[in-house]
Amino acid sequence: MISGSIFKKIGSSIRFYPWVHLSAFLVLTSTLTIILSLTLFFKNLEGILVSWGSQVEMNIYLADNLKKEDQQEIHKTIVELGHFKNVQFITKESAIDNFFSKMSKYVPDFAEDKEFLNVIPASYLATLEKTLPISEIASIGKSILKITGVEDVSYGQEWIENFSVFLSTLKNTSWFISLVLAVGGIFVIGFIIYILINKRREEIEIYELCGATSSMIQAPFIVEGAILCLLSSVLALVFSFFILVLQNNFLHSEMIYFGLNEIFHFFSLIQIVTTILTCTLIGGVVSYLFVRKMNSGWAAASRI
Amino acid sequence: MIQFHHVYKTYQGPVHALRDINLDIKKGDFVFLTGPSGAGKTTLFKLLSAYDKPTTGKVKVAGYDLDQIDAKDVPYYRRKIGVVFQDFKLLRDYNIFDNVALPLTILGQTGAQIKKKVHSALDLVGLNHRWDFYPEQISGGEKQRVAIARALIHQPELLIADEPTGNLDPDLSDEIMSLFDKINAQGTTLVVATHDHSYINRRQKQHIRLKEGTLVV
Repeated sequence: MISGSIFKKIGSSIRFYPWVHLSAFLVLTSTLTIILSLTLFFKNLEGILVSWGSQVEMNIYLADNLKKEDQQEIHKTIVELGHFKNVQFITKESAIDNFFSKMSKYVPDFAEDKEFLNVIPASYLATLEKTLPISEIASIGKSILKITGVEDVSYGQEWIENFSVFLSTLKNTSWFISLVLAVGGIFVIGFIIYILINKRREEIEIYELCGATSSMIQAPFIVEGAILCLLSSVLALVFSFFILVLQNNFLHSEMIYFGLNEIFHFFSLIQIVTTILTCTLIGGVVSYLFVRKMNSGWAAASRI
Repeated sequence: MIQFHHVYKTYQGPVHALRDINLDIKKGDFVFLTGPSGAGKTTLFKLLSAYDKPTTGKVKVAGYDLDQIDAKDVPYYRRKIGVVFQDFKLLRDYNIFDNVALPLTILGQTGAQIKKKVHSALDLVGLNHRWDFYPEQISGGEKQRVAIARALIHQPELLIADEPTGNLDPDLSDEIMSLFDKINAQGTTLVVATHDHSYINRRQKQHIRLKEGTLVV
């Protein structure tokens, strides 16, 4: 009854009500595939931010006509902040040379424009020592901007901040969709268990009649719910993996210059195991919540 | 074995299903319960099998106060009785052996014990040769014998049968009644509800008549 009989009951339940099980399985698998794919997508988008954060180089533009001592003081202050692995001074002349070498083939007249020489300032190019969140990079930028003699700080902040806001909005929307789908999934499990209880009511009465306790009667339903969620989660993970592969193929062929296909990874082994265990647990708990009122010892009272 | 003391059962309406029922059935008795439809037989069986509680009055069966029994104790009470229904109530996806074995499986007995007892019970009802058949493969009379074997397998002190021959032809009904005689001879208390007075007349057994929820002397 306790072990072998539970699986025997589940087997016969599937045999007798295949369409109920199949439809529940498909609905749960689709729901979980959407939730897992969204989770994976946003986890990877966050990876893009981290990846950009690790590549951030700050251009710290200095005021004109600074004395050498002032420049050295600024250098010292930046280094003392402790966030940079390298702080390189770029003179006004080398900045202009660099600019011209890149731009002269597009706009040859620049090379002759002596006025323009004064527009490009001397600067420090500071490379971050480690990957930092965007908010922290912004805060470092602000503190550098307060140093006397620093005119401006640039690290492509608008791009990153806009992407961060965009990502945060998408993430919140995705959380909401996932929540709605998860609640829907929970009701699907409960509804299936409810249907099965009603379809197998006579069988339950026979068990009651023979002296089965509530837990003995409920166990197959709880295990059934858990197994349904376990199998759905495994299949949903497989589908999510293939969706990721398709997405990476697309990124590789269409957006290779962004290098995103190397950032988009699947869940780790621990995350996979945790997902499967969590889904199984949820399936069991939801089934339990739906079956616990089923057998109070008087279940057949209204039917005899 | 069974004591009803001023038992009333009233359903919403109000419908008075049982009124002032007083019964005292002793261990080893064989009692027939008769009465027209709506007389209260089914209600009385619901009380006996702990599917319902009386509105007022005391019901004591096999040492259990069924008017006060806690829901968690009901399964343990049911393990002390055997119940047979008109519609057999067999598990269609279990073979005959597994259907009969069900009460023992619930009691947690070992495979060897179950095998021995099931074959012995099937012997008693004459169905040992069909142990691996499924309910849909056997006749109505055989199904009822399987139900009786299942009701007896755990050696209950009391066997209650609600219209056990209601779906059977006269020959098969005779068979079932003879089987009840055999079971009663082994010391099991029996309460059998039936519409068929011919069986009652042929047996000198206790007879309880119900009419409109009251006992008719």
